[in-house]
Amino acid sequence: MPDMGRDYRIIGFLCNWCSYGGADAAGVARFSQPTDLRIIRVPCSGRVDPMFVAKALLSGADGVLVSGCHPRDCHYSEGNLYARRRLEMLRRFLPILGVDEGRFEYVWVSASEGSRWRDMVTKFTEKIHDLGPMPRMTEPARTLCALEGMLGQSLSQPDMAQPGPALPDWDKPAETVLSQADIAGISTAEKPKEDGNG
Amino acid sequence: MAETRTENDRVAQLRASVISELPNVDFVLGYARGFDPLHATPITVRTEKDAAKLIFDATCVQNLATSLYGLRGKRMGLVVKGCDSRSVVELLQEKLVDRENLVIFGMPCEGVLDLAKVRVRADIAQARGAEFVGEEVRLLLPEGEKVLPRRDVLADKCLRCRYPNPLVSNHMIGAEVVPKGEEDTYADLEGFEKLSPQERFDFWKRQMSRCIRCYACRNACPLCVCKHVCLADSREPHWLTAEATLQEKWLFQVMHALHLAGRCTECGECQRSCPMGIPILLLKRKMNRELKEVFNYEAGVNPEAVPPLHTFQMEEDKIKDRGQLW
Amino acid sequence: MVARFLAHDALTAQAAAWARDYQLLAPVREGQAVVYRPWAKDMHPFLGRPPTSSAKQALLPQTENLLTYTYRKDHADLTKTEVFLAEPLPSEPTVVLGCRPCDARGRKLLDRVFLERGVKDPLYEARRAVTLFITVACQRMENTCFCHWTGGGPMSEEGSDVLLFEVAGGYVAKAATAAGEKLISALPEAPQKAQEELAALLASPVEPGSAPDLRQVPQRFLALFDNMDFWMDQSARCLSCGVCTYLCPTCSCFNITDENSGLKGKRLRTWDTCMSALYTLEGSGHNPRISRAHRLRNRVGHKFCYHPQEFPGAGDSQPEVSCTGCGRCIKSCPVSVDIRSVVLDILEKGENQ
Repeated sequence: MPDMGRDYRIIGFLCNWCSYGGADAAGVARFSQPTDLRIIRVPCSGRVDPMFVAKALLSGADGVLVSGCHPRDCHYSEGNLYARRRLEMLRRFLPILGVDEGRFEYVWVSASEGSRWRDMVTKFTEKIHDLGPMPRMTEPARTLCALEGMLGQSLSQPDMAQPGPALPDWDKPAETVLSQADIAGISTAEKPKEDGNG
Repeated sequence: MAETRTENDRVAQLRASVISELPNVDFVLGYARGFDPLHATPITVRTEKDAAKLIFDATCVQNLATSLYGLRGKRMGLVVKGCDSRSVVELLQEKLVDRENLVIFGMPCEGVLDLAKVRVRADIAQARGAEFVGEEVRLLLPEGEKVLPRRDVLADKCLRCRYPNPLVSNHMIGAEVVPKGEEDTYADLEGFEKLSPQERFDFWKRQMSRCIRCYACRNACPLCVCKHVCLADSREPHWLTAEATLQEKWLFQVMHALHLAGRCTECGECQRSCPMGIPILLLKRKMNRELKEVFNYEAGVNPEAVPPLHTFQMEEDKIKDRGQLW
Repeated sequence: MVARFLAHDALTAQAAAWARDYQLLAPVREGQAVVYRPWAKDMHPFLGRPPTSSAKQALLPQTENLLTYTYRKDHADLTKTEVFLAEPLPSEPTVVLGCRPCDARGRKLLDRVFLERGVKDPLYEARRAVTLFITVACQRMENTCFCHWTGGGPMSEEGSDVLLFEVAGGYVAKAATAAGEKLISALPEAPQKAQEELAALLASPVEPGSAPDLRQVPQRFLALFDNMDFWMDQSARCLSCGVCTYLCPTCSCFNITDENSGLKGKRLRTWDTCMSALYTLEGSGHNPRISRAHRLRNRVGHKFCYHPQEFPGAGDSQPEVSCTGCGRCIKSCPVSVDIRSVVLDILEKGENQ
């Protein structure tokens, strides 16, 4: 992996009761694990709005891990059961955005499972390292009226050197861009002719 | 716009039906001819004179159910196509509107035009007339008549439509229609998913660069009921800045798709309203395909159904217990 | 001024040449829209259709930094914090290629707002000084065009630096300003045949049709001002999105928001839309324009009543309206709101109020 000059950023949303306890147990037992994960404590995995994950990934996180109590063991009885449905739908949805499926994971870890937590974090971090840094939705160098001091990355995005993704080829003529009609027929051969009418 | 005789009869029937219900409602929302023969526009009918302006044909693309939530509490009538009726059902499922306050005029529908497809085939900027005769769309242009096969210019959603007959109505106007599609194979999604993740990401970058954050997609959506407290505009919590950068535009689209999960009925208004022609319906279709696969659920079909994300089961058949994977 | 010629197959090369000295914005087809893009090599400018968005983004971008700031605490005295401000002023010479007369005329109306009300907007002023418009003259009126209602026309020169008239094989380029003349000085002179074709074109230009007399609009608008039934019916179809305002060459409302991150921040100016429910939402929670009826009334009133009242024409002439009749608001409106029919309804119904 190329040296990005920074750590990978993996965000973890951990439920306060089981998962945070499990992570704590891993710490108390002095298990060694990668340091890329940054933990955000939430009362319950049911608190996790899929937008947390989406915003994290699109704002520069390379991976997001959500961890809660095992189903049937939720501290609030049902929170993780709602979370399971929500997060499963989110997991299945992310690939359409061009986000690799492996960047988001949700797991159930109980407070006694310190070593299992260590294993999860290590495996997930390795997976993220293999996937590389998350591509960013940033403007190419010359954008519409991109004069000095204007348009640019939001300040909330850390300004870090990274081997950026291949930017779209702005030099390609517009005809090669997929249009609505193209998408409809993308699996068939025929492309409708556009002759600039209308 | 000239119609065949059966269509003329149907419109006459609609007008009569609306007039008969006028004493029972504050107004009726229907379609009238817009600024040219290929555009319709919603109108408010309060009198017989207004009702005479009502039309119904393949130019009636708008989903009038979009106005429903904003007008809740009023006794009103509404003209709906099959797809529009699903929006009404979804609003009923979520208890956002009162069925008793609605008088619904159901119009079984053979499909509406996608003007983008028409523009690729003919220059319609100066269109003088349009006729729908059988399987043909006959356009009257300054240079003469141009005939297009109807199938080539119908909206994509119409080509795969399984609900052409409104699912709720007080008055069904016209004969029921046989659905065009049997099952949604999501061929467009399959095609898109042949691209690699990086290619898909770049695709959306290119598409979203045209976005002007007009929020037509959001405002045209019948299920977007947050209106002025929409999270896209809020400062507390502050999800999005006002900057017109790719990041913010894209995050909004993701937010929209996530907030519509389990609620979107694929009326397609979001995509149709986009002045820049960005194919955002694809995101909602992806979500819907996953919902169908995991929960065997379709929004806006059964007014009594509970949306899957509002509930849970102890044992989920289709969700692998992630905890065991590791 | 010499008439010059820009051949169709020389367009790309010429655009590339311009792009060496200027920031060039050219329209390209993407999907079903025509949008302006900064020049990149191998772009194919598309001049055959009015672009979907207007050219105002060259003078008033959708997002811009008014200033950026950094806080720095004085380590010796922690109660003191210094603020460092940067207020960048745009200065890169820009050429907009391929707009239409209705876009170029919008420039004048934007000048009214940003330069002529006593306070000059420094960013707009800076951009205005360095931006040139190469306009394609129209040879037909689309179903949504009504430039002739507003004092313009398909071949109006107002606001343009260069006009391109399409003839066989390319465009005859005529400069309308000294800066425009300099811009096209490298082009070859227009051949005799092309000049004759242009003369014929100018002799019998496209007939735009009749236009209503807009002089009565302000008075009749005000007569209808409190008729909420009228405005509710006009606005019932409106979605309160921002398509009409953002695509309009003359709409100029903006919002100012601060975004900060720790010790740094920026003050953003972004387009705002009077059609949005949030437009007049006050801090107290009160909203004077809470309904679409109020907001549509405001938009039409601004364009056809308040603006002409603030900038009255001389004597008996047609009023100056804050609209160039480009028709984008009609063409791209998802529900086909037609501002022309609102104005005509005002003229008809406001007569006897």
